[in-house]
Order: sequence, then structure tokens, then C-alpha cells
Amino acid sequence: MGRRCYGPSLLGWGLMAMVLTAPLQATERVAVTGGRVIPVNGEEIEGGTVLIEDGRIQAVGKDIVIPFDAKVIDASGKVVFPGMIECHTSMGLDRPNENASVAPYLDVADSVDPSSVGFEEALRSGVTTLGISHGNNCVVGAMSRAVRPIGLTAGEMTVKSDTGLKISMAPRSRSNRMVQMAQLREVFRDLSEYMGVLAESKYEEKLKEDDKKIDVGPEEARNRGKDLVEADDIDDKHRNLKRLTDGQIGATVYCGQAMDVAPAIDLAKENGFSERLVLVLGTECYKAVDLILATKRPVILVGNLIHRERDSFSGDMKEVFVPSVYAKKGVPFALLSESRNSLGEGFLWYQAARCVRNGLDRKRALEAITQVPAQVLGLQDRVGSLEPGKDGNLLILSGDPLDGMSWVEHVMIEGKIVYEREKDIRLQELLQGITRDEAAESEGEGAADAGEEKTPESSPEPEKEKKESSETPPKKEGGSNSDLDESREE
Amino acid sequence: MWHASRCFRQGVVSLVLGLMAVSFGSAVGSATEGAYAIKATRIYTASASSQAPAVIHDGVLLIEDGKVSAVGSNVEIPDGIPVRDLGTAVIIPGLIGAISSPNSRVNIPESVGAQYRAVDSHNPYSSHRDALGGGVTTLHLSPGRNRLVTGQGAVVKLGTNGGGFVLSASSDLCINLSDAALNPPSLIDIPFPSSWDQEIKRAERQMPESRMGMLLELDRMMQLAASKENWLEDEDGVLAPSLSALRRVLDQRSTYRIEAQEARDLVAAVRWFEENGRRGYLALADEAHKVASVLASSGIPVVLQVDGAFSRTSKSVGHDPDPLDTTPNAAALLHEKGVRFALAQNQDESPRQLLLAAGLAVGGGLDPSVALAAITRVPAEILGVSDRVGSLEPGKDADFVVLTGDPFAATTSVYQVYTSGDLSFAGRTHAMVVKADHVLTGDGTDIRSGAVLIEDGKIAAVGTSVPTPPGARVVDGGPGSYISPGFIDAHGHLGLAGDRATPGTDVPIWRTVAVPRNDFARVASSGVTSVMLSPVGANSKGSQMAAIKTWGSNRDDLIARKLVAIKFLVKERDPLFGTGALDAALRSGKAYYDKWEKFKKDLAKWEEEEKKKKADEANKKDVKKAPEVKKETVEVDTKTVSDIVSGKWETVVSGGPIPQPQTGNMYLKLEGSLVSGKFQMPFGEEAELAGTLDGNKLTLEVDAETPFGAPTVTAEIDKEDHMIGSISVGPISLNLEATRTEKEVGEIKITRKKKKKDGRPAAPTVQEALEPHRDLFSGKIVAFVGVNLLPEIDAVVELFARYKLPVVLQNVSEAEKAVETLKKAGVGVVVSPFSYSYTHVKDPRVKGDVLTRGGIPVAFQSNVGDGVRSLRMNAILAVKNGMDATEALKALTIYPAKMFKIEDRIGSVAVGRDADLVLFSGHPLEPTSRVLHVLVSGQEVTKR
Repeated sequence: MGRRCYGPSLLGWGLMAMVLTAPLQATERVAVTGGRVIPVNGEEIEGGTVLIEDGRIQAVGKDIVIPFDAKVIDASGKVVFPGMIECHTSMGLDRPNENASVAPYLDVADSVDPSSVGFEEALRSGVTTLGISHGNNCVVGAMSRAVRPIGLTAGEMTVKSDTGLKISMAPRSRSNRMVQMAQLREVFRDLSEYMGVLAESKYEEKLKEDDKKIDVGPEEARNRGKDLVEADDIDDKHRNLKRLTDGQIGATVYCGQAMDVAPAIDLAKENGFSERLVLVLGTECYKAVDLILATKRPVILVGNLIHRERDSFSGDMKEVFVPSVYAKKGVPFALLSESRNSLGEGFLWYQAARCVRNGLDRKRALEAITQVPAQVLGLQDRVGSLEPGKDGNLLILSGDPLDGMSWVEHVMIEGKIVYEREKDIRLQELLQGITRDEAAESEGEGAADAGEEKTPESSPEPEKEKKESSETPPKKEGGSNSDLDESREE
Repeated sequence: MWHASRCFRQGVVSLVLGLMAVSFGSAVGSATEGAYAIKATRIYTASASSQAPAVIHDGVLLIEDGKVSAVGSNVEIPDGIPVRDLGTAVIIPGLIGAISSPNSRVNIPESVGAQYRAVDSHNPYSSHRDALGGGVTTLHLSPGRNRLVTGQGAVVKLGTNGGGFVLSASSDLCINLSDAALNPPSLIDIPFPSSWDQEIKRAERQMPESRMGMLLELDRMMQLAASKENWLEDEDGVLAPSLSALRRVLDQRSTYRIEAQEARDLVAAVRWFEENGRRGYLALADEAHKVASVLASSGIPVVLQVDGAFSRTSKSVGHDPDPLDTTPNAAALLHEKGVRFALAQNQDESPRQLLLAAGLAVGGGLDPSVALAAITRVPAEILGVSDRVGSLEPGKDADFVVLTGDPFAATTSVYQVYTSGDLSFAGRTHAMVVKADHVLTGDGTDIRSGAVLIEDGKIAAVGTSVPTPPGARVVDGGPGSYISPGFIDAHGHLGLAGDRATPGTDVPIWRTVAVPRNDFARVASSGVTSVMLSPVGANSKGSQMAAIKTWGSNRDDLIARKLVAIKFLVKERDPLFGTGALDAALRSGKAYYDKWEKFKKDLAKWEEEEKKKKADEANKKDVKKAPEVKKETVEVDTKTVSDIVSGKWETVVSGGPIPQPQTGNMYLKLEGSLVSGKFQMPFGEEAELAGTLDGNKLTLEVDAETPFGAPTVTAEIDKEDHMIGSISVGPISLNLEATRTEKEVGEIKITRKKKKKDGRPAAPTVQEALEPHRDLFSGKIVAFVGVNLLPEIDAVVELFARYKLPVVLQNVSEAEKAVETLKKAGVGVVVSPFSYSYTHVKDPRVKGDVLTRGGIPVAFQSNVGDGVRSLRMNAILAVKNGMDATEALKALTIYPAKMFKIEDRIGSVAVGRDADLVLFSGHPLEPTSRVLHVLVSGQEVTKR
């Protein structure tokens, strides 16, 4: 069992209890049965089963023989959906940006705080994989990595490290585009010069070892020494950059405006990482959609999906729903939630639902929060859909994933239930908090009505009544009512 | 046989082509896709070739694939390609702006920042409206101003989105020889993280600190850069990027652009170019005229910034002992000396002012054709892009500017700009086309997929296909949208600010309208575009009502008609008394009206007779040439007198409408207390005077006819031989001052044009309070009468029938009972949309519904001020309660317009009407629809 136990990762955030109740077994088999399975990569299966063995999906379908020792989770009347993927976020970093404008020697792993409330919130909203990146206020930023929102250390959380370097085309604060671009060009010029010098010195070293004298000019020495350079010879400052130009890792390149797109693509081409280029596109970048299409690469769209522009001449306000433009051209895109937005835009499913509302294909909208972000992170073989061989990351939802009335009932990461709504104390407190406030309010009103005659004993009565009457949560379907009731009894 | 077959083939081909043209329209016949021709009255080519004429009259410009394929006066236009005839327009090549303000105000840290490229800060996705609007299609971008070497310049084209916009990403290395380059900040690079092996180094001091150090520092850096192939930050410090970039610039043997303003700097720059054998050009060059011969002999071209501040004031030089010495004829001087130069606007101005700047140079004595070349071909050559742009010649980019007139006239505006053959800028035009799925014209017609063309605030066309003039703004409501006429409030108090007065008929209510305020804006954006403005109160004597608009830029825009109705109220319940007072008001109005009518009739009759008389006289004249003006002499007794009045008075008349004092003579004669005499003004006309003397006060009537009757002179003889007083003619009063120059007068002969009593009928006295009644009885306006109960309704209808006057009834609580009466009398009714029928408990129907079903036109009122915002919602309620939506819409548009006889202006979407339109997302009277745009007299309502 190479699988780790994702212990009380969320440290008493109410989720500890349920994690502890999940027993460890030799071969762990879980079958999620009876639900409407939306595998994303194929047709929806009504009353389908997802069988997970040792954390990997074994089978998905309608008539699947469930092994006798499998733990069966009944999802009838519910929807089974792959865990959603937020592929570009600074969540969990104690601060998203560094002082140094060029910092390719950093890794976000050193900054990830596993106890960040954001990870718990991610589970609650159905996100099972996150691509953690350096912020946009940089020239070359830290190395990104993909994590699951559970684990005690960054290492435990990691799904895949080195998912790419962060590069920003948009100028850093108090800088301008000219300086930003000059710095970017300088990074790669400096790299090639550094590698040249290194190669030359390696060649000279070798000559010394062989007791030979310098026999060629510096140009040739550099050429001959190129193959002598080993990975360990390269210093920290240049190592990741060298891996980038060698095509070993990719880069997520942030473009704030359409004018950043062409230089970004040129930069990738000139430095050999256009095959692994992932553009993070600001709202206005849709204007460069043809250039983006030509890269044949999936892209990431920032959370603000509506571009508004006032025509300086006519004064007309123009509004463009950006994903429609990419969809029309056939550019695969991953959606991001708008961080620091506590409204709908702060949730991935809502962003996808907006796409559907604006006339996009439902399949494309669902892919934009599952398969495409998986591809962006280079995890297309592990996450993003429900198919045999992939990680057992799935959500059990009370309704359709794009329906505002649906709740995330259960979250399963690699076959283990890591979130259950009925045990989500914080959520209950949130809902009950509202209830309590309302009860207190109504009590106050009642007291005022009844005047001084009211006895202290009589006051709890209406509060309780009120509590029960308002227990119906604002968004959910029948059946789940009882779940809340039970949890209260505990 | 061969011939036959060829003919046959040709026949078939032309037949097929013809069929295709018929079935697919004329575009199919075009030779090359994207080819078109443009005709203009004058085309300036700015061509350098001596064969090509500089100006082509009645020229044709042929464009193919974004390039000029031919230009001339007799260019053969291939069949089938679109031809745009621009009539009297003038075409010049797209202008080349050789000076532009840097995009970023952030200063780079390095004194020599060769690695910075201006092209990086250029946004090809921006509309560049500013520069394009000035006709500039190609622009040199400068990386900055405040360092010795600010970076690499670029040349870009404007108006082409995305690719193909950069003509030269690194056109030149920009060097700045001016005070701004002095004292750059020290450079410091803090290693991250700092450690024992990565220590923080001392800040590096940068040069130049003095003027003489500038070129020295430049040369030092260039030599340093040349000494090594590549520079490493770890080894060579913070200047490594700059030195590496400089090295590459040196290797590429780039062009150098030296920006210098003072003569000494210009000379230093020339020396630098010559000593180092480098090529390049000078820019800014304010004092170039001082060193013109140096520049001419060096052959170095100059981009001269014209010293002209258009959009700002000139920089203050104060006590600066040595400010830049500029002169308006600098360009002319340079031309004379043989310096090759381009012109540019001042670097603090937008490139938009390039044409104006060149105009100033023309004012300084430069030949206009040289000036035009200096902002087109010459800068293109200097910037090294003349293979693509700068002149209109076959093979060059089709970048051109369509001007409305002469290139250097201030009245000329840029009409259109084309970049690579595509329209990249269109000047403002006031025409607008509004499109919608449905156009409700107001009379019940619904034009599907219709459009409305608006020109000069009026509706110029309505229909399913209206022309779109070039540059017109097009607003499309999209699927499901509706255009409706602007709504009319048939009775409201917008702008009265709660004033509850009941003014009389002599008070013009339109005077309450001032500039539109926020309340107007809110009302307008709700879709209500006109209000029949009335005072809050009413009585049986009547008050004025005006038709006002809810949006406009000034008072005149806001007033649609100053007087549209007289508002009455029948007060008492008793119909006899109630209409009694109203009847009295109408009676006096009628009497007044009749008096005027009689006068008009008499006048017309008199004029007719006069005409006849004149014609007769003219006939007689043919026979005997009788003088037209018969002179008559009045003899006055000659007597020697000596009193305070008699004699010749030199008289000065001034004030009033007379622009300058007029001097004339008065000859007066006193007989007892009676005074007689004549008045002689300098233009020769004389008039008889007659009056009295009372003490020292003189009162005289002048025997002259004016529209106001005879003038009177009242004067006081304040001292001997001097009088002061006035002449009054109707409302006009003139000052009079006279001095006696002769005490004796002989006979007073009066020479004047014959003024006989001609029997012209006298006009009745104007009575302000009854003036509106004249309009009422002549049928120009209507009576607006507030009534309620059935007996009142009957009485009022009967009363107005008796006077044969148009009337509109308001409120009418018991209208349902009077449906037959009203219908018979053809009277319209103004009600609140939400007021229920009086039987509404049993039968909840709104009054508007009951009345329109009875065949009576209904108009909706708000009866409030800016609360009229909810008029549409009120009407929706009426529809919800069963009123026909078409009728309800009419009650908001055409019915009130007709009732108030203003349907020639508002109330419908028809040609010639005011462009008062509302564009809705759905049917106007659906609650699910919202207002998208509101136009009042063609002006878009913008919320404030």
C-alpha cells in the first residue's frame, strides 16, 4: 500500500472526525452506485456505478459487478462528477509574489500552508486538484505544482511537482512594459551566456584533467563543452530556466492584455518551450484569439469573463463574454474562479454555468473545469474525468453540477472520502448561525409585542420553533433535509 | 469556324457572367477581391518622382490587396469593382508622425538603456483614435525622454489590428542630448537573497553630470560595449544588459536618432556623426535654423518640431536668460538652405496636430507642397520606411486620408482614414441608424425588421431598409427588440419643482424651462420624451400649457411648442354655475378674437384697395410722369418775435435704438401758449410740430406716422436758449437736447413727404391675458378642461360645441356614463393610466380601457412632476387590466400628439417628425422589456 493516509489534514476543522472514521484496509474497494454518473469524457450514465480500487478507478458503467468486499456508497438520486480542478491559483501561499522580479529558483512548495482555510473551502466547493502558482506581479516567478487540498505537508499534498515556471508579460507594479520585456529578454540572454561560459569552463576542466593545453578558441570551447555540462553544474538561478529551454518543464505565462500575447508566444518560440506553453489570459486577450489558436495549446482564462470597453468616440459600452470567443474559434480553455470573490464568480461550477447561460456547449463548459485544466497541469492521465485508470477523485452532488441548487454531498480523493456535507461543522454553523440570528431577531420582536409580561422560561420556545421552521436550507433538494437533522442530533 | 466558336464561347461566358451578376449582385463581377476605386476632386500623391504630378485633379485611386495599384486622372477602372466617389473631398497620403510622446511616463533607471525597445509598449489592439483622427497612419515610437540613451525606437502603422503593424521594431537608437539626460540616478542591484557570497554592492554612479560629458559618456559606453561580445550580470554588474544590447546595436550598424534642441547640441551631434562615421538623423532641432548651413553641408536630415502649442499653452520661460530661440519661419529657412527636413508637431502635443503644425510652417513661408512632403514622404525616407509608406504610388501601402478640404485649412476636418486599404477612422457624423425587430410607428403599424434613419434630430427614413450614410452610428436592438415613439405625458408638471400656483393666461409657462437637470434626465431615460407642461393649479379663467421635451442641450431644444393649450377647470358641481364662469372666459376671449379678426379683415380689405390704387396710379404714371412724392409747403406768418421758444434750435436726439446721436434742427414759433413749427432731421425729412408751452415746459406732437401713432416731444427749457427732454414713440423713448442758435425765424416752410390720412384701420389694443384665446379660437391650440361628473361633461361638451372649439377633457370620473356624448362630439380624454372605472369594485377595468373600447381617443397623464418616470409602468398596469396594448401605446404617443395638435412634431415614427425614439428589448408595454436607448430630437439620453 503505497497510498498515504491523509491523516487529520485539516486539523480539527470538523473534517478530522470523518477522516478518522475511514478505515484503512489492505485492498480498498469502493463502489459508488446508483447515481447519475457524468464522466465528462463520455455519455452520462443514469444509475451508473463507479468502482474504485486502491484509489484508482477500476470501472465506470451501468452493469458492473460489485466485489463482495467493496464498500458501497449509495448515490441514487444523486450525481457523480469528477473532482473539479482549479489550475492556476495562489491559494495557500502566505503571499503570492516575491520582491525579486526574477526568481526561477523558488518553488511554491516552500510557501504552501496546508492548514489554509482555502483548501477546506476548495473541498466544500468540489475542487480536488489545485495548480498552485506564483502571483502575476513578477517577471519570472517560482516553480508551480499541483496539489490536492488534503495533507499535512506540502509534500503530502503534492500530486505533481514542477508543473511549470511562472512568467508574466504584464508589467510588475511600478514598472512598464518596456522594462518588463527588456528584463524578460535579458533573463534568456543571460542564461545562454551563462551556459556558454559554463561549457567553456567545463571544457577547460576536462583539458586540465587530460593534461592538455587549450587548443581551440572560446567559441569552439563552448561548443565542445556543451555536452560536458551536467544538471548539477548549473546553479540554482539558472537551473529551472535551463530545464525550460530544454523542454523538460513548461511555463504558465500570464498575459494581462491582448498586446502581451504576441510577445509571449514569440518568447516561447525563441526559447524552445512553445510545446509546453500555457497562456493565462486576461479578459481583454480575446482580441488576440487568432494568435492563440495558432499555438494549438490549451489556455487558462482568468476569472473575470466579461470584457467591457467604452468606445472613446461614440461612447457606446461594448460587452464581450470572453469564453464565447474562444469557444467559437475552438481554443480549449480552462476556467478559473475569481479569487477573493465570495459571490458566484468565486466558484468554478458557477463560472462553467455562466458559459452555458451565454450559449456555450454544456460539454465544453464541463471540460473547462475538469479535463482542460487537467491537461494544463499535465495530469490528463490522472484526473479530469471518470474513466478506468484515473485517480478516484469524484464528487457526489445532490443535483446537476451546474445547478445552483446542488450541494456537494461527498468528495472522494483517490478513493477516500475526504468531505461529507453532513459532517461539515463549519457549513452547519454557517447555516445555523443564520438561523440563530433570525431566531434572536424574532424573539426580540416577540418580546416587544408581549411587553413586560413575558417570563424567561417562555422565550426558548419560539426560538426552537423558528429554528426548525427555517431549517430547510436555501439550496437543496428533498432527502438531504434529514441529513441535516441527523447531524444536529449528534 | 474558329471565329464562330470563339464568339460563341464569349457569348456563353458573358451570358453566364450576366446571370451570375443577376443572381449574386454586382460584387461577383469584380476583377480582384478587395479591389476598389476612390474618386476625389484632388489627390496629393507626395511622390518624389518628377514624372508623377504632385496634385491630381479629379483623380482616381485604385486599391488592390491593401496596396495602391494605380493613381491618376485617367485611370481605367476595371469593370465590376466598387467605386467610391468622394465628390469634393481631398486625398493626401497617410501622415507620418516622426515625433510621438512616449507611452509610459515611468523612467528607465539606466543612463544608457539600449536594451529597452519602444515597440514593447505599443498596443496594436488599441484603436489609436487620437492619432488616426489627425490623419497619422504611421508613427515613430520613442522609448523615453529622460536619459542619454533612452532605448530603441520603432516605426509602427496605426489602424491595423494584430499582425502587420510593425514596420520596424528597432528603427534607431534614440540618443537624447538635452538637460533631461543629465544627472541620472545611481544604479543599485540588491541580490536576492543577499549572503556572504552574494554581497550587496555599492551603488554605481552614472554619467553624464555635465553637458560636455554627454557625448563623452556615450562614446565611453559604446567603446566598452564594443570591447566584449557578451556581458554577464554576475561578472560585469548591473550594466550588463545595457552593454549587451548596445553591442548588438553596434553590430547591426543601426541608425542613430539624436534628439537635441539647442544649436550647440545640434552642432555637437553633427560632429559626433561625422567623427564616428555613423548615420542617422536629428530630431526636435528647435534651433536648427541658427545652424542651417552646418546641417546642410553635413547632409544629415532633420525632424523639425514646429513650435506651436495647440492643445495647451506655451511653456513659461520666465527669467530664463537663454530660452530656446525658435522662429515661425525656421522650416522655410531650412528649405532655403537646402537642409533635408521633415516636420512634426511639438513633442508635447499629440500627433493629431501634425497637419496644424505643418500649416504653421506654411504660415512661416514654406511652400505648401514642401510642407506636405515634409509630413509624408520625407519622414518616411528618414525613418527608413519609404518603401512601404509616405506617398501614393503604385506598389505602396494604401494608407491615405480623406479630407473635407485644403490640407492646411483649420476648417478642414479628417473625414476618413484608410490604413492598408481598410477604413481605420471615420469622422463624426450626426446621422444615426436605429434597428430593431419591430418598429412601432405609433399609429398601430408594426414594421418587422425595421430601421429608422435619423439626421439633424429628425427622422429621415423609416422602413425595412433605410440607407446608412458613411460614418453613421448604427444601434441595433437585436432580436426581439422594439422601437416605439417617445412617450408623451399628456398632462404633467415636470420642472415646476412643487410650485402649486395657478397663473393666469398671461403667464407663459414655457419660461419655467431652463437647462435639463437630473430630474429631466431620469424622466427621459424612462422613455418619456415629451410632457404637456401645465401648472399644478387650475381655474375657470385658464392657464397656459406648453409642450416640452425631456432632453436637450439647451433651452431651445427643450421647448417643443410654447403654447399648446389653455387649461381650464370646471369647479362647481352645479353645471350651470360651473360652465358659467368658463363661458364668461370664453366669451371675452371670443370678443377679443372677433375684434382682431375684424381688424385683420379690414386691414386686408384696405391693403387690397391700396394695391388697386397704386396699380391705377402706376397706370396713370405711364401717361404722365407725376412725381411720386408730392411736396407741399405750409406758409407760416412772418413776424419778428422775441420769446423763450421762437427760433432755430439745434437739436440732438440720442438714446433708445439710435446707435449714434442725430443732430437736426427745430424751427419753433410761439403764439400765446401755442407752439408751432417744424422738425428737420439730417436726412432731410421734415415734420410739422404743434403743441403748447406751459411755463417752461414744452409739449409738442409731431405730425408723423409710426406704427405706434404720433411721436410726442416733451421738453423743459431749463436755461436760456437750452432745452432738455425726450421724444417718445410708443414704447420707445429718445433723449432730446436742443440749443437755440437763432432767435428769429421767418416763415417756416415744411417740406415733407406727403402724409395724408390714408384710412388704414387701427389695430385693437393688445391684451396679454386674452392673446392665448386668439390661438384657441383660430384653432391653433386646444382647450384642456378638467371635469368630473356627467352633468359637467355634458355641459362642457355642449359649451365647446357652441363655440365650435377643439376641447380635450381631463380626469372625467364619470366618463363611462358619457361615452356616447363624447363619441358623438369627437372629444379626446386625458386620464391617469391606473385610474379605475368608477364601477371598479364590481368590474375592475381601467378608465382608459372602457373609453378606448367606446371608440374615444385616450391620452395618459402623469399629473405629477418627475414622477412621470413611472408612466410606462402605469400603462403596463392598464394593459394588465385588460386594455388593448396597441391602444395603450397610442395613448402614450399618437393620441396625445393629435389631441394637442402637435402630431406634426411628435407621437409617431414617421419621416419629418422629431427623432424621439425609445428602443426596448421587447414590447414597450411588457414588464419583461427594458429600455435600451432613448433618443430625444436625435440626441441620446445619457444618465447623469
